[in-house]
Amino acid sequence: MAKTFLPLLVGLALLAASTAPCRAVDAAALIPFEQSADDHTLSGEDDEALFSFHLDGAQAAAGGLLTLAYANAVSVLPDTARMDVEVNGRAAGGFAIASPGGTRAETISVDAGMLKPGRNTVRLRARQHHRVDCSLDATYELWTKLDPAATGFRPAQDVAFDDFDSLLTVRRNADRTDIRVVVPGALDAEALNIVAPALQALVLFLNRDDVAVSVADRPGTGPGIDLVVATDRVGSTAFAGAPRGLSVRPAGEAGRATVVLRAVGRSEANAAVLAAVRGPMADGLKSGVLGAESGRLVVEAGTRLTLREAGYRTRTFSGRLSRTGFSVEMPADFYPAEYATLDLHLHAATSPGLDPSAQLLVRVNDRVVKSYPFRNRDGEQFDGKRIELPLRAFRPGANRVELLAELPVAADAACRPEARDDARPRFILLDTTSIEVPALARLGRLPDLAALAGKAYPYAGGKGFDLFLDRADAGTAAAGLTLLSRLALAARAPFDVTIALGAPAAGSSRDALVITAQGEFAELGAAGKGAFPDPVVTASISDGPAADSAALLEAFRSATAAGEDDLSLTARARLWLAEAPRRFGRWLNYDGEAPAHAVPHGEGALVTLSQMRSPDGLATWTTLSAAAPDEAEAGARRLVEPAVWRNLEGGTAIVEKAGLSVVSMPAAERYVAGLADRSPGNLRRVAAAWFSDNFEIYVLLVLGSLGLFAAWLGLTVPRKGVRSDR
Amino acid sequence: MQMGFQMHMTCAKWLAVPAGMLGLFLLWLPISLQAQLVLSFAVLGILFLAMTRPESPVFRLVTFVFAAILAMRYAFWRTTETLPSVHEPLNFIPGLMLYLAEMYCLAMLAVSFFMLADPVKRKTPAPGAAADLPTVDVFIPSYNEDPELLAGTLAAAKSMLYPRDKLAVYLLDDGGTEAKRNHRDPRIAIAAIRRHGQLKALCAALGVHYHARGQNDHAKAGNLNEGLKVSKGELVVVFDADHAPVREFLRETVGFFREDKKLFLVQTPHYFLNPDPLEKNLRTFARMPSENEMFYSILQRGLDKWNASFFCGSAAVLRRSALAAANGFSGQSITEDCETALSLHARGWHSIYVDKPLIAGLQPETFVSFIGQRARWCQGMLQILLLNRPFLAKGLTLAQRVCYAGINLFWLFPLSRLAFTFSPLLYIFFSLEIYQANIAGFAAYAVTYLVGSFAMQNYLYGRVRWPWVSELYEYVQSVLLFGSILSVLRNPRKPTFNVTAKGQTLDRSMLSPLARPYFLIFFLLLAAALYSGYRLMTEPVATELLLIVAGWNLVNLSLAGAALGVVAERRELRRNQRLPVRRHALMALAGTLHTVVIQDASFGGVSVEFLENAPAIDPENPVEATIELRRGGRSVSFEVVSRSRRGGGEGIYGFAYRERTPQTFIAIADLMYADQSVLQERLTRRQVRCGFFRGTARFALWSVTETLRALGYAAGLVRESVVPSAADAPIVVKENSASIPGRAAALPPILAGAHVHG
Repeated sequence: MAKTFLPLLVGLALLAASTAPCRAVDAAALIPFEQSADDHTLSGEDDEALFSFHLDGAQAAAGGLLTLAYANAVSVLPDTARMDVEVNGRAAGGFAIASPGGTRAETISVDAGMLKPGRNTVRLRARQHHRVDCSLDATYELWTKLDPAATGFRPAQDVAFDDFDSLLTVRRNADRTDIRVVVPGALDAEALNIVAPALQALVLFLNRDDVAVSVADRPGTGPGIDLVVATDRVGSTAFAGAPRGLSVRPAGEAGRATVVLRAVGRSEANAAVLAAVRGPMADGLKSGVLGAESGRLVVEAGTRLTLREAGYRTRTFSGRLSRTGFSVEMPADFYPAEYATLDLHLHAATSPGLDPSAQLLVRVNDRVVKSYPFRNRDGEQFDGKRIELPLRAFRPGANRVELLAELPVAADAACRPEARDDARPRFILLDTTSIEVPALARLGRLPDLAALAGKAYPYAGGKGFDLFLDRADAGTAAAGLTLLSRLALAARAPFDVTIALGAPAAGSSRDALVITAQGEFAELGAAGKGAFPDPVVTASISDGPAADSAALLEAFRSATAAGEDDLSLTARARLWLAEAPRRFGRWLNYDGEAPAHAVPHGEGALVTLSQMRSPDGLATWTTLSAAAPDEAEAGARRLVEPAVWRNLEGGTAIVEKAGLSVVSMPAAERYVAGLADRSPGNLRRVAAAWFSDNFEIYVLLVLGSLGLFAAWLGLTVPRKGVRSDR
Repeated sequence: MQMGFQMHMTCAKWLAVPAGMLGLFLLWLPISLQAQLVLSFAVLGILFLAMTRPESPVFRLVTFVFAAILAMRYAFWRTTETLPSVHEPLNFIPGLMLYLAEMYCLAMLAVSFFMLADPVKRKTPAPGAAADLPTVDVFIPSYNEDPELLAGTLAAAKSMLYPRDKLAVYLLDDGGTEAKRNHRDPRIAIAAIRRHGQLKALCAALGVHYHARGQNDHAKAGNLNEGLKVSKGELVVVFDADHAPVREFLRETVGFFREDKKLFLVQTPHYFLNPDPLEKNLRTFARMPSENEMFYSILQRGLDKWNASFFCGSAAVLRRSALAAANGFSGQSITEDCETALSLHARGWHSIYVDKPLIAGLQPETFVSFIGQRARWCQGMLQILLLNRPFLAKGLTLAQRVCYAGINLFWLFPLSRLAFTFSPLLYIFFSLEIYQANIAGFAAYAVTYLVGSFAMQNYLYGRVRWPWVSELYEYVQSVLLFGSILSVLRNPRKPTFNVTAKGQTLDRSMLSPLARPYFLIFFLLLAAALYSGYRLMTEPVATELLLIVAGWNLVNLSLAGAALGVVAERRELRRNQRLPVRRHALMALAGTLHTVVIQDASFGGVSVEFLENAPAIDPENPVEATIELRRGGRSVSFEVVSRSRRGGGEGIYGFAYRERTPQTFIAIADLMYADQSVLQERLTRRQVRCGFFRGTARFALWSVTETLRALGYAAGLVRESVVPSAADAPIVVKENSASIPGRAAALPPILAGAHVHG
């Protein structure tokens, strides 16, 4: 069974090698930060990052070394670049950022007084400036990357995996937190059903978004966790001595832990998990997945949350481009449209002397949705200035919001680094800056992979569902369990899930998650056979290189086109006029969500994740299809990578074999999956949203109803008052 | 058949009313800009289609409803998306004021749609047999008008076609009351005594009752009530001192009273022989429909539909029994006419409006007296609004409440107009964001609404109002009426009756004494326009909002520029307004009888065209002649003296009356007011639509040329030569040899305007 793993592991190793860190330090005893590799980059002129790591009482009391292995962009000017480190809110020192050539490890000793048992936080602030370029764009070239494998806390005392909390210190294996479900003997649905609750509890307890689950009949190697099912039925002698229920013990290998689930049947397994969650796992869950997460605001309609709640701390900014980002997690059944705006209440101030082109840009999901000019050259103070962000820019689930303050001054044009005055701030953004979420239209509309990835919709919420595996092999099961784990983390709760072999049957009102590794089920429900991904959409959404001819042509055009400034006025006007209808058409179409049909799992795809309504319309099926079990597993791993998972949207996501690039396709048409709130206010907002999307119907209805009314008035009015109908 | 139709209508109602409610629900949905834009275009399309058949009530109401869609969408958007945050009071407070000004305009739009739903055109009923005709008393209240003006009106009133024994004319002279004659100031007392004597003699010569009461209480209303006491006719007709009726006046109005026993009022339009200051100074009188035509030929007809046409103080017939039931004319406010109608409507009486010009009068010529008149109307209407609360008044139908509240509320326009004028400055100078919109939103909501409302203006009023003229009238009044409104709001009982000065002349062109604020505002707006241009050029992130606001300020600047033309008064030498009569007559001149056509006539003289053998007349040596007119077998003659040779046509000469006896005035009245169609024809000739683009171009031209002219006046660049002018013939009342001097150009221009009554 492990054979099927091999190509995948090789592939991942290759992938990892491309960013392979130089292992300057022996990281054997490092306790890693819990945040995934993606979060280990600090970019721009002034950036902060928050990390956490876990210590037990003895480790906290002994103190240790904070090890930060990093490399920075060549363009960073070494004289002024600096990293400041804070541990649990107290300054712990810092260092100059000066490692453009390769990874360099800095250690900062942290004494026991600054540490505490449980989760400790590290706040890094990187200030860096460009060597030669003072333009705003150049600030995007500034970055400092931490090497997640070599970064962490080195305690004076080694880690021993003997309790649940110690699992929080488990290191990553090739940038993934590896959990292997060890099922001795033949794999069947019953065994998976027994292990599923324990696995979900474990993932929630770890609160890491880079977990990869594999399934095998023997433990894995390298850092990670083996979740061993020791049922008496199979009679695994290796763990006969383990206590009944859920327990932790070190594995044979350093850095690897074993969690043993010793139970008979599902009910005992469930009871065991419950006992662990209520007992030894409770604190970890509370401070982890159930606690506040930095950089994220989970909003509900009518709430007002400040940046402080997203972990932002007020700081003055003396660079050119201030970037502040956070994530806004919208409800899963949120219907984006124009019925309201999400208000940003800006608490900030600018300093005198800014160039008149200074402005604040708000980007939502990588699109600029609002600009607000800082017109006052004498400096300006904003006490809750309202900036309205269009709701349509948001989507259910996680949304990336960035506040970009462009703050050029006249001196930037000369660009003399020595003339820069860092003591003179240009901008301050207060942590009281808040967002206010209006009453939202709530209507679950599927397919929507964004809602799935962000909120595990429609599976979250306590409603039971089925996970179907079309065959009982390790690859298929691993794909299923990987997805399930990630969804549980998105839902922040374990599911009431039943794992079954086969395909979902029509007539059941239970939602289903379907893993099919034989390329058969994919045809189910695929509407437009032979419809291939729209090349334009592919090119624009794919993060891989655009290889098709249309994109090439476009690239050629833009490369050879004369700059706007070179054109004559008439040529420019003609260009504008030629562009206008197209642009207007796009605008009318809400910036071109060209509808595409559900795509069958086709050539060139590793896996296809798509969502559809069951043929009888009673339930929602989300299907992961692949041609082979190992491809299913590799595809699932790719999908749950934080950067990929975060950007899932539309009705279908395809992981391509070439370069593992991920393409999201909009849904051909959506169906209503749930209307939980039937209040008149919500119905009105839903109507407004729906009519905005279908404005032909809106216009016809208005014209029809009021035309009828007007005609009746026209017949009635002459007969009222002084009669003029005679 | 009728039953079947009734049933169909009931069924249709059950369908149409829910459809209307569905439509309303849909309109109040917060939909996307895209949806709004498509909706706006679709609605505008249907609007323009429906406008093609104005005579069909169904098409008319479709037009209204679809224009209302745009307005409601605009109002919804304006309310929900464009208001500044309450937490930014610097933006919010002026933003709210502008918002309220706009909402006021939308409310007035709604009221006007209601008023104009189905204007009524009345058919005159036959007056009936002479023996059955009711007795009629004609009241001509006067305060300080010239005897000459009164003589013409009295003569015309006396000449109305009606059985002699059933018509009595009363001159109710408040300038010669006992109180005035016994005034402490001997100059006032002497003037009053002289006036009393002269008018008494004139009345006696014309066969008119003269009455002057003891005290000047309650101004015009008190005077009219005094008239009710000294007379007893069944019907009462009121003419202002300068409102001379045509002969058919009673024939066109009295018949209605026979048909409806609950009728208390038949109102007719006020037709003016002379231009108002705007018409005079912008030289539009000959071509452009007058300001009041919008009210008289459209609004009053609309009000008539809802039994809410109201008394306008003159040119109306009222039923004495109705007035008696309401204790006469009401005098609480300074617009006694509207107040009287309100109180009678509230008592269940009916009113009718006849859309035919049946009187010819004068309107204030100078800007000062124009503003004085408007201030009185404005204050009086607001007094009624505050003191009588027409919307809550008992006894009125809902439709009447809406109409009265609408016509009273209309006079708050200065507040909204000034808000529109000044709010752009807040953004241009201080960057206050009081109207939060981007250009796409503005285009989808505001521009489409504006297009719709301009189209509606043209549809409803195009015949009587050219584009931008309403705005100009509103603006010139707003600047000075603002204070009047504040004073009424502070103390609703304070304003007193001002008599509007009429028949004034101006011997040279000059700026009105009230011109200063108009110049200040103009320069302020000009500075804003320049500064906004500067900002647009220099600001790299010049917002869309700035573009909108700068454009808006430019419109205001054009208005302010054209308004400078209104307050830069052109000279007015003409004392007597001519009316083109084209009457055939015979003229005996130096023993020869000539066949002539009287081209036009005034109270000073006539223009005569000799059809053949024009005599040689030397302007330096005036010759005397006698003109004889014939009508209905009766002959009327009067003596004239030659004055000038009139330019233009061949053989047209100007003659003045040699002397003006009561008989001359009867002849003049016959000459001028024998035929209603003369007035109608003059009115109709000007009622020509002027398209939006032509009107805008004309307006843009005005705003340039009139600004330059006004600046020229301000800089003292007026070059005018003195024009010699002969005085009018004196009025000779033969019976007691009283002689009242005619008016002459030597009289200084009266700029002080109104005198306080009483």
